[in-house]
Amino acid sequence: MADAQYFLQALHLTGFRAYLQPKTFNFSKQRCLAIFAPNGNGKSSFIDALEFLFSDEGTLERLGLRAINNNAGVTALAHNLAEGTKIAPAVSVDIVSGKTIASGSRAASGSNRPMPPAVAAMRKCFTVLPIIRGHALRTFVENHQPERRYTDVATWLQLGPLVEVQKNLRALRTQVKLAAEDMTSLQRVDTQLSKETLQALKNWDTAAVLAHANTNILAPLDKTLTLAELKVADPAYIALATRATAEEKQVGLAGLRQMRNAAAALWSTEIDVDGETHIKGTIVEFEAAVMALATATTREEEERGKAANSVFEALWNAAEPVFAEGATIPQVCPVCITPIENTTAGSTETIRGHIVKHLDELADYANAKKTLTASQAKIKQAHMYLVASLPGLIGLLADETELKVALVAYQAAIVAWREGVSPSSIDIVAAIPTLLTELGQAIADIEAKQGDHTYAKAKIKIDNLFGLDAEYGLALCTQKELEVLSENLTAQATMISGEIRKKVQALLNMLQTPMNDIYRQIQGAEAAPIRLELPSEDDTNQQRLHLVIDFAKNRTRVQPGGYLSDSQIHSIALALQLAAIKQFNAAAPVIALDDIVTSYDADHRRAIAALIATTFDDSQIFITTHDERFFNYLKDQLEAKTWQFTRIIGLDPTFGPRFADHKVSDEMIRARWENGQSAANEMRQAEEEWLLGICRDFGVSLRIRPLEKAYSYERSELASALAELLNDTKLEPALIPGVNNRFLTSLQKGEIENFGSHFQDGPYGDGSVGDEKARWAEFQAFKMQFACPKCSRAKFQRPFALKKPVCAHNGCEAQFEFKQAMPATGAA
Amino acid sequence: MDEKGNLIETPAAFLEALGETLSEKAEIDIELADILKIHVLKTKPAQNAVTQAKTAILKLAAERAAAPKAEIDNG
Repeated sequence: MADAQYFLQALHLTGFRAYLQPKTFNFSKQRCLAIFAPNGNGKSSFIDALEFLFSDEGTLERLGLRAINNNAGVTALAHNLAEGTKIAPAVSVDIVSGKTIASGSRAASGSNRPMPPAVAAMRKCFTVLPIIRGHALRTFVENHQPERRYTDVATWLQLGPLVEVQKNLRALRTQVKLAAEDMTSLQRVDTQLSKETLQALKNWDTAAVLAHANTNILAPLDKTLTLAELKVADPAYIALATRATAEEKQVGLAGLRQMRNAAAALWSTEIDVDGETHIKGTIVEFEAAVMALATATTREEEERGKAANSVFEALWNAAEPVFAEGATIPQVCPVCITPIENTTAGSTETIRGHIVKHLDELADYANAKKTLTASQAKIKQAHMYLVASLPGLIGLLADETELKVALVAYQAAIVAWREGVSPSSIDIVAAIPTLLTELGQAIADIEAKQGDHTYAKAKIKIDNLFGLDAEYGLALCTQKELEVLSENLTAQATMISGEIRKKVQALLNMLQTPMNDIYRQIQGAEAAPIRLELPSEDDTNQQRLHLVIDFAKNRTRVQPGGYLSDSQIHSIALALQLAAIKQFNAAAPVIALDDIVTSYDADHRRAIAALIATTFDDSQIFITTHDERFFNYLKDQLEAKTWQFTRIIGLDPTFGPRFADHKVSDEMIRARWENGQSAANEMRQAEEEWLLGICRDFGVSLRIRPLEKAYSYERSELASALAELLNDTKLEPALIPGVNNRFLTSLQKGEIENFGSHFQDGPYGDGSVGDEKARWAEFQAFKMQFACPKCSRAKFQRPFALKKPVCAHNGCEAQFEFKQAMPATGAA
Repeated sequence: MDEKGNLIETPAAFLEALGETLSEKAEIDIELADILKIHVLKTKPAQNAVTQAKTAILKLAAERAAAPKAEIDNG
């Protein structure tokens, strides 16, 4: 058993668009609704509510996105006074499926506007969005580029994702193709090659690179060393690597220079500007320091001995002024009171000589002591330098050489030395000059032979070229793989695009027949069929949709835009969408039509009303229109049991749209008079509505109306038909006392005046309010005669077999007869 | 599934089936088809789906180029 269809049972708008105060549309009894309103009265807000409710993002397509200083976007969903009046903008809905009713509400403000589950369940049934707006149809007509049309149709058919896939595939193909043609990686190798070869080579060329390696890198080292190819297995490279390794183990030019410097640091000779040769180095300086220390030590010891007698320095210093020249010489020793002549010195002169001698000896000792201290500092420094410099040469000398052995022993002795005679350096000092001479010669030989070239450096350069070769090869290989992938991508993209095309074309084919059926219902049976065609297979741009017609034998497969009228093209768009909705939305047969007849003439509006009544009688349809005549056609042709009609009589900015019954009421007429306005149009409308209803109830015969006859005479057609029926059935309405019965007379003549409007055929009175009131009273009195003689109800029917109408009320079914006319006082 | 059934399948189902069909083709580049399935054959592709797919294809090309194979002549 198939799942039950979804229908809307009620729609509630609060603070949404034009609706500030809550408004409920109830579809439980009559599932379809037609709203008539002049422009700017909020009728489209009803359709907006449906679009908003079922939109993925909770917005309206026509609002666009909110921008700076622009209150469009979601902000425009809410009524402008909603926030100030603390009304939460929302659209609520009751959805019925079988016997199940589900409700949901969707907030129309704020960033979080989730779709209620009940709505989402119904939304899943919409393969095609069931909202058709007249302005979108115009867009379809005006922007009839095949690419745009393809996108539109694909969107209607919910093929947007497929169009996106095709677009992405096209972009991807382009980008991958560009990447396959991109030479940046190879150019990067060329740049590096140029740098590596000092601008000798600008572009990678294996033969040229080989020649460069052999000529500029290997030949300076060994002319017999020649690479046959840039590969590590090449014999020349293997030899190069071997020699580089050996070179690392040998002492190279730099090593020789380092060794020479290390040896010279220990011991070397230097010739000054005067041509004198000086010996220098840490060994020499150490040994000299040792000798200087020894000398200073001996000297200090000697002077210290001499100064021992002068230990009473203070005494001598004190005695010096006592026995100075010119001073009063004491007669006795100031210390022991021995008479001077009895002392060992025996005289003042002798004492004076002792004082001078001892004071001199004290000064020499002080000098010797100072020299010793300096020598001790010097030896420490020289020792430290020598200890530090010895490892340099030891480390650079090959093992087990005599010099190295001697140096190691000497180093041990030096490190252990604390004082005394310096360790012997005779062998070392004898060997170093020879070493220096040999090193100088070796350095001179190498410099003369290969300059700055070494096998190690050559290997590095060759290795760099190998790296570039590998990089170039990889880049080249990657590019080739990319080319293959680009070709494969083109093939796969073509296949995918082809499958999408087939699906779209199949959909279009399924739509073509019902679309043309609908198209012919609107435009007439003779209308040339429309074909929906994609571009041919070999066309590179598949995202196009051609609408073609066979306009004439010599104009086949032509674009309608050049041959059809705006209305016809408009009909194509409408027919295509309606066909798609009917085809694919069977689970939720809901259609919303917003002002779709603006480009149609009266015939086509009636045809569209008939189309809705016949082809879509099983759907739930919502129609808004500002076209009153189309509204009347709908009322005329659509079944009252499934349709409700309403009109917006004004937009109250602080409330919302004000609705009225779709029929013009006596209150509406009186309200206009009270406002000092003419009610002529409303009266005409009321008469027409009544005529339409009574003609339908009485089952009058309407003649086939000639196409060239304007619609302004339609009431007369109705009046004629009614008059004819009344005449045939001998039913004669009574005269209305107090008035001149002009309405009845005109009705009997099959004529209806159109006073006070631009449809007017002939004058009726002077068009004053008084005349309007008289006319209205006459009409009301006349209308009241059409009541059941038994139950006074005013609803009739005329079964096919009956000549006269009967009361439509069950249980009454009294045959219609005119009552006695009442005085025309209704408008007084 | 009849023709109408096929036609009214969702875009997601259609694309998924299309991806499977693509992979099942003998002569197809499977790895490339997988990239298209992952990044492109989606009803709601990433905003930078094309960039992602291109990056994946470039990576695939690099991997294939680096894979051991008969040496090529750079000259």
